Amino acid sequence: MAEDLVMENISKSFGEVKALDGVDFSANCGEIHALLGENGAGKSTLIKISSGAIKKDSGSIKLSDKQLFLRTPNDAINIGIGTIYQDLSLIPVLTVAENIYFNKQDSLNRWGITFNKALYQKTLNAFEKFGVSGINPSAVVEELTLSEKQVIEIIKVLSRDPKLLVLDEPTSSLTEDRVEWLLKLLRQLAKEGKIIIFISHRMHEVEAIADIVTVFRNGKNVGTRKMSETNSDELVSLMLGREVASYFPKKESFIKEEVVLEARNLSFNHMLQNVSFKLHKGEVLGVGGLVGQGQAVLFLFLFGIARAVGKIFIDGRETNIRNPKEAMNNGIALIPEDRSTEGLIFSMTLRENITLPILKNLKSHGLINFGKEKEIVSNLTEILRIKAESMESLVSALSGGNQQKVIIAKMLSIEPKVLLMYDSTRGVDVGTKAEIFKLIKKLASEGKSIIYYSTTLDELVNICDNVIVMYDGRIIGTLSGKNLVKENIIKASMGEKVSDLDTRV
Amino acid sequence: MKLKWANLIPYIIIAFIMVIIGLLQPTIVRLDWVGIKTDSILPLALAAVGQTLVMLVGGIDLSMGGVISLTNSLAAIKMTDNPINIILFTIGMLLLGLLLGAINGLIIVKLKLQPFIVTLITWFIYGGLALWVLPTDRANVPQKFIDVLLARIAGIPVSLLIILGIVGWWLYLQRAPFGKNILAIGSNERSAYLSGVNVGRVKILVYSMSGLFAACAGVYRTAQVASGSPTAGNNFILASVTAAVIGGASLAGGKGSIAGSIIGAFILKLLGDLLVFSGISSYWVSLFQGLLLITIIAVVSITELVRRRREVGA
Repeated sequence: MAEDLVMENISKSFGEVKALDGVDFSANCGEIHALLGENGAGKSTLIKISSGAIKKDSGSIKLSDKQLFLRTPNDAINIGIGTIYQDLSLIPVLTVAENIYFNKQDSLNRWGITFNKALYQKTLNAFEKFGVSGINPSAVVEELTLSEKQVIEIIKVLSRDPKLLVLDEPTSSLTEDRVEWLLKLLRQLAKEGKIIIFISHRMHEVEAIADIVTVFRNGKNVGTRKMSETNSDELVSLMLGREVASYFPKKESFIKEEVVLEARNLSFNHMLQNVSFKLHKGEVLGVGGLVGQGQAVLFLFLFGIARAVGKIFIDGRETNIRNPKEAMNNGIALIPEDRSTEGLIFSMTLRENITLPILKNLKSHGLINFGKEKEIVSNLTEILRIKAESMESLVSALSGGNQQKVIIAKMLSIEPKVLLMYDSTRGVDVGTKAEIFKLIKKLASEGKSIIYYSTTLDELVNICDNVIVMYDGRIIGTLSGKNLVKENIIKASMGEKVSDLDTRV
Repeated sequence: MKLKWANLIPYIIIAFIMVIIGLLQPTIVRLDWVGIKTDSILPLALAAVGQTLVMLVGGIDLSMGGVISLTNSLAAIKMTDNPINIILFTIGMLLLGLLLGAINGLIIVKLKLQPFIVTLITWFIYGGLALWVLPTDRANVPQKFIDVLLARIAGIPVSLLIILGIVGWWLYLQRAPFGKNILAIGSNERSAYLSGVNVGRVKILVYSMSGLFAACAGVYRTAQVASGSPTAGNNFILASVTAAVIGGASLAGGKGSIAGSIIGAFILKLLGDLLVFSGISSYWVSLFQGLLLITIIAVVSITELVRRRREVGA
């Protein structure tokens, strides 16, 4: 076929690290081609090369039998390569419409300028064409939710009508209904003859949509399969290079009678409405629901960042948590959503990041006790199996999965009673996920309590003892025992009352 | 960009200051007073415009002081009475500013150095050139040159026309690709690059324009005070940043308004007048000016703070 993408013998190194090592890869038009691999396997590097964001060291790229020389993202865009990045490429201060038509010549009138009215109309037309609703073209992008931003990113790229469409984990921040929308749209685009390359960590999506799957491991292409001729077990073992026994740990409950934390009637504008729950010692309490139903506010409130009306009891005592420091003093730790901006200080080393919250305890005679610090850090890196050259490695040099572990280590260093985990497995590879799940169970068995928010139903069902489902700022259902199944979470997420719920709270 | 009510704060403040000055000195606030004020504020307004452009891409231009001093010094001693010479010389000074700004931009982009350090050093260099050209304050400015720049056309000062021209240009810029590229770079440089913006080229252009506006300020100052000074520009450096911030610009980039910065320059200067009119001893003016400025900047940023508060967790 004439329109196909062929990448041959692509290599790329960052310093000593070989991100891609002589990779051959091709994708045909009319097909949805999924890329799988752990974080750091080289998928992202490959698509950054095809999008002109970074330059390859060697190898060749052909599209429609034409040799490509990509020096900047602009080159790739002009050739018809549309790339949807994981860490969105939107301009926060511009409006939705301005972002979609940013840097597009055909959006200018004959005086070389654009008028907002015309731009809004164009945006509405594009929304109609691609089946988007509920987003205002004149809204400023920084005020949108993550899911809405992701939709805008997708429309921005699609409105250029690219020949080759590359999507790097487009569904990780989309709400369930929008995931469905995207998968349907991709089907349609493939039918129109476009080449579609799709990266996702969610196996069921890959199974549902991909025609062809290519697996990467350690910077190499380790196999391409037809989806119809393979299964998730084979793909996962290709990714890991070993057979994995089980992804989720054994279902075990360490829940005790004792209540560690109780929330009574928390309210905040319309985002939280009369939220009450009890968290027991050794409990893993899941928080589910569609994205943006008040879960974030709840977590921020429990960690003293957002203000709300209502009462919090810790160990039976009413406690006022006014800032993160007070939260930590009360034994509450938060593992935040965005590791690049909220969780880590990239210019500091692994050791410095981990001990940042406990420097006060490490002080002796006004100076930091290095021996004690090193002991704590090496202990935590061992428990969490953080892979780094040494504890003096810069955090920015670690892979995504290891960075996530550093955040967890940092929060474990304060020895919390209650661990708030907000979407901690987002964009994390399968191996790290399995380790995080194991760790959660271990912490629960030691009597720690965990509040666990996730957008992945499988995780809620397999990891948590009980799950509260939020809808429009309220707790619409509490699921436990045999009620704790995916179907019930979905039902409750959509605002449906689930019959014979266990209303234990 | 969407019009938010917060963007109107500088305009409300300037109106407020004008009303108070009017109440304190009812006889003074007349049309010709406005003209005189516009003439005297124009150099700072021009510098603030250049500074705002640079701040929008997340940078800063300290070398402005050197460019203003140098163009002011050269214009004050080398210009002759011949009209052709005056025109050519003016154009030459503006091109010189453009070139000095481009040098800043090239160093910052190509050598990937911090704008603060680069322009701090080029300020020394450009300022040093000014001292070499003109060691002490001197005046030898052709009267024709002064007459043209301080003229009134049908009662409207040339300085006001220049300001209106710049505001018109800003309205155009907000809707043109170049303006959006500037905002995009300051707001999120990586996103802008991935969206196909030639980040380096836009930055070099922006620093060149900053140099050009600084040269405009230097040339106009020559006419306005009818003399040259090798250190004239130094006061403009931080004043231009302050004016831009009052106008809504952020040192972090991606935020700011050229029209706002011009208003900021007026606020900065008129505040001094206001304090003098209200009878405060000149020894105290600086202190009060500082206190009022911090209040104004707090008001300008408080709306942003409130918005953030509201957004937490949304």
